[in-house]
Amino acid sequence: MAECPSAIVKRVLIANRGEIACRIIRACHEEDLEAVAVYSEADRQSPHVHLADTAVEIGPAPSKESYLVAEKIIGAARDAGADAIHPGYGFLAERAHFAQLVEQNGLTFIGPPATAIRAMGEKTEARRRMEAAGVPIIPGSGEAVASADDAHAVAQQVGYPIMLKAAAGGGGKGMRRVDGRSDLDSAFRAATSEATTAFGDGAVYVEKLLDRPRHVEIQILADRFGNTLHVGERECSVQRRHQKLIEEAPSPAVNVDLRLAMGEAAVRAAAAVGYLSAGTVEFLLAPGDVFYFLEMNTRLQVEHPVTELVYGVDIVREQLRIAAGEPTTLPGRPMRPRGHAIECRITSEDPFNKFLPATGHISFVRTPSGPGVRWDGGIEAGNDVGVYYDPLLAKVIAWGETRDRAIRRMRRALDELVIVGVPTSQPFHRRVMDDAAFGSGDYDIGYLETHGERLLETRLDDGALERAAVAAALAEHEARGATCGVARNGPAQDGSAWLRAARLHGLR
Amino acid sequence: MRYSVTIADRTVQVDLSGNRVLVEGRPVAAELHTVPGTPLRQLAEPGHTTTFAMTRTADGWRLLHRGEVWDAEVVDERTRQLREMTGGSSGTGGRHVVTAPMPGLVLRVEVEPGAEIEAGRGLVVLEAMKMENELTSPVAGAVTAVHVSPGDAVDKGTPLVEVSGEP
Repeated sequence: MAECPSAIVKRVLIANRGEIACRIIRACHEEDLEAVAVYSEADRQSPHVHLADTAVEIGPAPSKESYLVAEKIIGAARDAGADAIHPGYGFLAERAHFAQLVEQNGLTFIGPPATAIRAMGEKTEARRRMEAAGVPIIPGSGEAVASADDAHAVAQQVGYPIMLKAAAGGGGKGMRRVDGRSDLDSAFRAATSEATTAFGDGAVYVEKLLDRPRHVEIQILADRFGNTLHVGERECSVQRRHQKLIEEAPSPAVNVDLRLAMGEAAVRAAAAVGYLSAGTVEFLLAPGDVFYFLEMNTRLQVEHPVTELVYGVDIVREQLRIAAGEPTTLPGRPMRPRGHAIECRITSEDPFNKFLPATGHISFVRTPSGPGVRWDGGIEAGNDVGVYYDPLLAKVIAWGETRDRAIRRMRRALDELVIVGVPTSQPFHRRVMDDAAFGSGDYDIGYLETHGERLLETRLDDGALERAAVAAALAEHEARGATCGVARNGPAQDGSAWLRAARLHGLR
Repeated sequence: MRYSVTIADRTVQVDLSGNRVLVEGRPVAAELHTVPGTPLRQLAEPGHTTTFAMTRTADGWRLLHRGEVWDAEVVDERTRQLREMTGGSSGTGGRHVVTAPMPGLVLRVEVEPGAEIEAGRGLVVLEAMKMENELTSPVAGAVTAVHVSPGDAVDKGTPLVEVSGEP
């Protein structure tokens, strides 16, 4: 899109599915743009298909045969008369080749230039560039290591524990913590194999592992008018195996000065690769306000809504404007966050069964709503949750005047949410909102390791046990055809003789 | 009718007859109302209403309430007595079959038949939803059978490994 500063964007194809496709379609409609959805055979009845102005089928359920096939996406855009493509996150979002192909076909890629994706996508190359741009980086091998022995040599210089990371990686895949030489062989094999599966490239490199840092990232927006701006930080330290579970903005660990320092470092990082559109620079924040560049995600992030709520900015709208050659609407000065926002990722993973992914047929959904609550969902009753895609079903985002108010709102919103048909991470989130360690704001990326077991203990007080047992017995009795104490339909019938009698006798 | 309802290893006796509800022999004023067309049911007690989303499971009901989820096993008195007579509850002699908790692809098998293992030992690595998931043994004992090999695609519930628990 760099060659074409006044690109005409009227009809946008969204090369994604689920909640993020819905999010982007909504932004298109608010800008009077038409939205084209694509869908696999498994997604024919998905919400994003119904929300869009038109939809194109792109193949069988496995993403390798549908959402990941660049040629099919381009073909769908051509067939549907789209003039721009928004990749969302995941799938083709960070494939430089795809961004290039979009532009070569005379379409506008709503995202950064292919060169910036490539520069940041190759992690060792990115490290070199960041070092040159004066962005602090974590000590490590700097380039891919060929064997466990080579990794060990680097580890001896920087000291164990170390982290093995996929050079082509991201999203926590192909990463392994190694505490000493004895773990290294199996970890090296696992990281290489996972990296090969996930990215088609098994190269891994070594980084020193920091002791319990926080994961803090800076949102960036860059337009064609020379504005590269930071939009505050997000705290993403509640993670499981490097997959984020809960995010918030602002970070409880970041003050005004640190925000500015990290923001400026992020701007340098983005500028160093000629960045455009929305992007995120991830940092590890160690005690003493020391921070290190982790990676740059050259795309819209899952957790972008928390930034939107506290900065009053619509990041997807900014992306659409920037792609059409318009300037960002942000002021050129550092912005102050207003209030606090928290996001919980509702995934089809069972927290009581080691967060294993679960499948099922969603028979009922009641979404949370009311003041300060946002539901970015990609599911409806009637949808099947299969094995083919990421387990993210929806995001609940809550805003409050203070962090404490935001937590209370989130707790209330999670009380309202009902998803029937597939186990979800909802109970985990609900418990975190009651947890004193989370409430204090003093936590790091070891949060789940430290508190997970305690959080997931069975919680059932005597009153709740009794009520649940009575409800189950009555439902069972009804299902077997008896009608004791059971009104089949509708509201409570007045004048139930036995209920009156029970009250009269002061029972309970 | 008397029902034994077990939730999280705690059992509650609920007697239902006519319009009476007894919990552990104590009368309780409670009615259950279904919200038509939904799995929502309201348990109405004097001064207190609790809404559950309820679905049937193989041996009872799953209840969702305020972000929590409980599985209730519901057994009527006759069935419970029958089970006691036949000693049905723990009759399989410590044989544990580890099954696939979700459909996926077997990446690695980490044990061989005959291996003596500790509880928590990794048995099979299953790839599902782009993540590698290690399935572990629930008990210490001996591996008596391995039913899958790397590369196998398995459905939910497919037996993977059998472990005979230490007595």
